Amino acid sequence: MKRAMFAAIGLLALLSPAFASAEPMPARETARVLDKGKLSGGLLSPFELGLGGGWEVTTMLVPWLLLSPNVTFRGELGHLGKGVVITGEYGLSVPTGAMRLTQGYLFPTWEASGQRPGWVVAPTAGLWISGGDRGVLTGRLETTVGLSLGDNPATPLESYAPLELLFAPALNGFRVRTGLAYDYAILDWLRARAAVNGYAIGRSPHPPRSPFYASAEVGIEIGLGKTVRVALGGIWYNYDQREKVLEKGGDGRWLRVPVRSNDFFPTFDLILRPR
Amino acid sequence: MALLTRRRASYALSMSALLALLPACEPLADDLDFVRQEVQVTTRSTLVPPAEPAPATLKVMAWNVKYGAARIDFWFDYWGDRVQMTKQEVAENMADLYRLVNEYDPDILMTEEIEVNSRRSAYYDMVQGMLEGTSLNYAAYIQTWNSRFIPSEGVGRMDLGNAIFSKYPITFAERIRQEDRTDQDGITAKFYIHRMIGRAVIDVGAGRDVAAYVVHTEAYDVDGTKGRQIQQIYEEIKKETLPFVLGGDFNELPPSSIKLVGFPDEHPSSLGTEYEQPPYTPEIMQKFYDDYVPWVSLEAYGTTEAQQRRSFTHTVAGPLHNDAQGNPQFWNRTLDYLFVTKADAWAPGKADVLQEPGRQGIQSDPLMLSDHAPVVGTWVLGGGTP
Repeated sequence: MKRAMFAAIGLLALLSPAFASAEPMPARETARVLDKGKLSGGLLSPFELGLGGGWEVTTMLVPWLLLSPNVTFRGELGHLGKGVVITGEYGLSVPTGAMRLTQGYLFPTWEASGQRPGWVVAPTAGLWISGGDRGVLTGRLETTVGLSLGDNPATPLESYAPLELLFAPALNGFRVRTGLAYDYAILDWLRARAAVNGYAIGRSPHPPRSPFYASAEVGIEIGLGKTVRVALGGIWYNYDQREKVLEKGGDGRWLRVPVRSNDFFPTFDLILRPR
Repeated sequence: MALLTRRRASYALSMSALLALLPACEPLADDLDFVRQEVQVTTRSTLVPPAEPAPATLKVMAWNVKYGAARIDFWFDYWGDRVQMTKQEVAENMADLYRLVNEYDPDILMTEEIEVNSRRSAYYDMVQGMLEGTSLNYAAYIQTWNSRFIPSEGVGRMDLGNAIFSKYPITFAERIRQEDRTDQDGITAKFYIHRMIGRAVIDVGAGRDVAAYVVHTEAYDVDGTKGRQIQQIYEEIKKETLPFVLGGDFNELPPSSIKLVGFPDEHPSSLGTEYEQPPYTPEIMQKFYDDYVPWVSLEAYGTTEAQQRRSFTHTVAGPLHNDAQGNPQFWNRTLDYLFVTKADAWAPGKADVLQEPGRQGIQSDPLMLSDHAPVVGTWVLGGGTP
């Protein structure tokens, strides 16, 4: 099954140049906004719509499926020389639906007391800068804060990094992200991407733990015709998930000491982005 | 008694399956897949020399400490819906446990449901805490549950086990794998506890070694797992060549128990669920009474419920909840035990269940410290029938 799938992707990739235009596929997740009326969307990537005038609106689809509305507007702030764009980002999300839908799993049911995860709105502000043509270098800085509208008994999950970062504004108070990515068009229908990110989240209520997360990712995007792309890659996270190991100290005593966790996750996405 | 589960555990399957697809360096949940495994011995930061370097008797205690939750009602007991404690709550509860241990001052302590790095107990290291908070010097932690993140009721990370503490050096310790339940689906089983027999060899001076065993068997199985685990314990101690003490929570009643069903601490909403208390099978404990010396003999246990009440060790509900008659709940059944070989004995009048202040001179109220009472006795080495 796997072999057949890869063979099909490979075949399509080989045929792709025949369908592709002479221009390389544009890089995604940069400071550059879509032209008016242009669309882009993926299963795990933002759905984006160009509004014109240097603005676009984006949203993530999966949170909507978990009853968590989210919308972000991105507007070009200006240009620095040839091809360098600076863009501002302004968003709002309400993650309460996802927290309530996952009661019994990620969050307690609280059957006896009838408590529920509280209402939280999470505004976002960010800054992007991108430059380059065939190879696009992008830097970003983004901050999201969680504003509770009343009591919220839910506490940080202290779970896997993607989940933790997703809920951090609502459960830890804030999330700051800074990142640097380089995206290069190897062929007109093939791009490679590498990125590093650093995150800081708000305080956890229990014993102190590091609020800093690091991630590094690599991937490729294969254009399948003029509309479809397949993104394949992997991401590594380094963070404090309360892991402890038993180690022998200099005095010969065994002690449980905290260590940072390292996780590697494969990534995959199917993206629709008409050229 | 209950540890996690309830109906939400089955609901967690889909979420667990999703997470199980993600590879990670630290396993999602440790299968603890071995037959026997040596465990490291941890020590007090400053050793306290025992009063008697080569004792003829040893004071022993076995206690299910309910992960330092005292009488906080957790969700799986149906009397409340707490999922995690604050660090302050755990620290205060643990300080109360240390106080009672110090009041009794055992030479060997066997604990069940002790945690070293669990979200629900604020990641408190109770093993090191017990060492630093008492005059016990050595500890062997017998990990039985190591799940990185349990996606059920927000439980999260779990590192729970049993432990053997001693004032005297533990020269070797190991954990012996017990059979898992077979009445759970694969993913629930993956994230569930794996029972162990803990064994420690203790050097009690004058060239003499003794062994200590700690056990905690299954509570809610409906496939006979508990019976097979208890049989394995019996077979394991049969092979022991050292003088030994066996202590722990067997989740089973003594053979001559009068009351077998209808315990007042079973919350009505737990009835009819898969976590309703399954019928007890006290006859499976008979062989321990036949072949070893219990800390409370069946004769002392008595033949009426009123007599047996003095040896009850467990109540889920505790005095903060009333029974059907409106009385604060009290210990209502015996699940915890101590046994030694027939070559040894228990000092008369010193073997007991620490049910309330005054028993064996304690001032603390054990009813407020855990859902189990400590069982204690003075083990007379070589004091029995050779």
